[in-house]
Amino acid sequence: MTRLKTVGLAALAFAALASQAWAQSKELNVIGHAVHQRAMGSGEANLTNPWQSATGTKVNWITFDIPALYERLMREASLGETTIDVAFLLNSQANENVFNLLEPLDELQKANPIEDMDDVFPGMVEAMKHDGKLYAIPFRHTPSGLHYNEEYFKERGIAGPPKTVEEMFEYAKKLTYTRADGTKVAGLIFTGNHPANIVDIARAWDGDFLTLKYELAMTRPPMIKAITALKGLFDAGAYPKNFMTLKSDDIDTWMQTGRAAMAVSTISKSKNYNDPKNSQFPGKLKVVNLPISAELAGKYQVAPAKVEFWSMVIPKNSKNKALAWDFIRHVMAKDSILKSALNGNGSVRSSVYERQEYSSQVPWAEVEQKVLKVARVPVPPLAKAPEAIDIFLEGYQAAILGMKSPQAAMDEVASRVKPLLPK
Amino acid sequence: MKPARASYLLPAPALLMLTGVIALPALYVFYLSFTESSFGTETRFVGFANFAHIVSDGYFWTAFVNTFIVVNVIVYGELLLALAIALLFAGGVPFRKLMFSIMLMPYATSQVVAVIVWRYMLEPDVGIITQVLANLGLPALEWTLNRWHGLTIVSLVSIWLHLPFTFIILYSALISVPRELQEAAHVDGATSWQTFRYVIIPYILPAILVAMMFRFVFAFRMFAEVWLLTGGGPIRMTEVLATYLYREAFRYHNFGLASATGWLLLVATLIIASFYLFQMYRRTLKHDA
Repeated sequence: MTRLKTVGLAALAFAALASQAWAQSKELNVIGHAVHQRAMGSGEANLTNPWQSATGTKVNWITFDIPALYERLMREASLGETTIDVAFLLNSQANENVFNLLEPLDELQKANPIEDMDDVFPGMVEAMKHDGKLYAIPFRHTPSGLHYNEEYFKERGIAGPPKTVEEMFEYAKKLTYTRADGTKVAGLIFTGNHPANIVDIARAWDGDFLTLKYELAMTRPPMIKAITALKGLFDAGAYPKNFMTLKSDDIDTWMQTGRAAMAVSTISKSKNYNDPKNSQFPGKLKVVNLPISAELAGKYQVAPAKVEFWSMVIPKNSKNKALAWDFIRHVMAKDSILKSALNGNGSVRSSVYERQEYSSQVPWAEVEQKVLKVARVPVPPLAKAPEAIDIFLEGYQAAILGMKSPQAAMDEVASRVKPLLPK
Repeated sequence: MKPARASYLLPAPALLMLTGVIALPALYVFYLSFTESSFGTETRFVGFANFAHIVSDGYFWTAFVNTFIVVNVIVYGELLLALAIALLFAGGVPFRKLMFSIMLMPYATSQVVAVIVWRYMLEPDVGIITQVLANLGLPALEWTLNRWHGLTIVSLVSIWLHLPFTFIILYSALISVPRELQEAAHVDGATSWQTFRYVIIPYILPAILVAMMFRFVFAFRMFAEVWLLTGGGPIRMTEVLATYLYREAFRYHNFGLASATGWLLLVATLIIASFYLFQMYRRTLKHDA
């Protein structure tokens, strides 16, 4: 072989390799919460693997806590162009200001539709429309349930989970103790940096913070009863001193490490709580529906707990809209949603609940199905939601710490939230 | 001799960079402070409304008072502690290199990591510091529930984080004090305290002023310690000006209000810095002239 031929062949080989590398160098940047990435599965079981191979695309995940995720999306979407192609948006964050920065998806859906879109819960799809245009595709719902540590219940001589909210508070006090190994156990925990779980407790009396019609429901008896009961729990030492700094990740860790006996949290987190790799109590952390109050026991079978849902959006200034839509289509396909549901993702497709694979492999399927019949969102879409939430949390903290009565605290919250509501 | 015109061009790249990354954004923020601006909405000119809103906002004044208290506690507390440790080091300590490394360690730690580690150590139920206090029969620090406990913890963590900065400035100044001066004072019959008060302190005063000026400026912008420890709570009672600004900008997306707060912070910082610069000028440069 002449030297010229050798050089020529080497150049061809290099060009072939380079073109292959270029073909695989497409990247799709996704911003979301860690739960979204976890829902896709990991390693070889990652449900996006076939799509990545077929399109020669590498999916880059960037994950944040909820407020930071929203802030990053808004910041990126306000730029001339962004490298973020797909983002996850919570239902309470979906307001007019956000929709102005997102790509309407109707044309993309018309040209290249998502498989059986009618199977996706219609209420969630409707909530993602503005001025008749669809801006987001629901992917995950998060109804709340009551997680409890079975071992602790046995230790304290409690036969089973509470049947009414009154019983839940009573059990929380009994379950606040120090174990023989020195572990201090808190009776009941939930996140303190968002009103969602406080609303969950109020739902035992069918209460709300703001109704879907933007009525100021925080001053009504259900919320007052809930806050009064929680203050009683705090005074009894059964609700942690650092309740206002507890975040979603803290709740997970406390349950996994046995620092709490009961937690109000997303039902599907049961998988994570019982994961032998992370949990000290695998198989012992059970989940049930949040109990209703004794006075509403005839009206509801379970408390109409909160449900929130996450949707996927494409920023209007993304340069990769076609690829982003293709990713969304793949992730939303029936099989993908089933796989994500088996990974602990709340399914947005009703058909998943009829699949035998799901009901046989997911212990909390029935719990989830029960609550979805009555659940509703904790905060309606509101451009000024962060301010309204902070004001509510201030009032709640003031009431729990005994600085104001629950009624006085909520009356003040109402007067401050009112100007933030849509006219 | 007059410098050649071309020599003015030499610092031009640095000046251009400073203009680009500091002056222009500052001017843009100044413009924003007179507007109502948020994501996804049209920017609207509102005159001095943002400044009026801030001065009538109770949370701003809480943040202002907290900042004033915490900054003074931090700057003076840190100064005294750093001076004491610097004197110890200047006098000689065993395992000097090792002790130096330990002393400088907090400055090499990521601020976020350090605050989170402190947060776990101070955890109200299982934190190691809480346990130690309980074992000593001392009351727990209820920093998640009590404003003053929260601000105390914030101050302590901030002092721990920044102590090496003040220490290194004061230590450098201390070891540069001529030995003859101290010997002369000793020969004249000065006690150790008198030597320290009338010889060493005046000599290292410019260094003290530099350290204090920088620490005032840094402490005024204190953010991570408060945001990661208390989040400004409970009931926004431990908020400082930087977290107030952050909340307006990055949680509420009220960029006009946040910009106005930023400018008020800048003016306050300039006033403090001017005071210390004037003192330095009066005590050093003017004296030398």
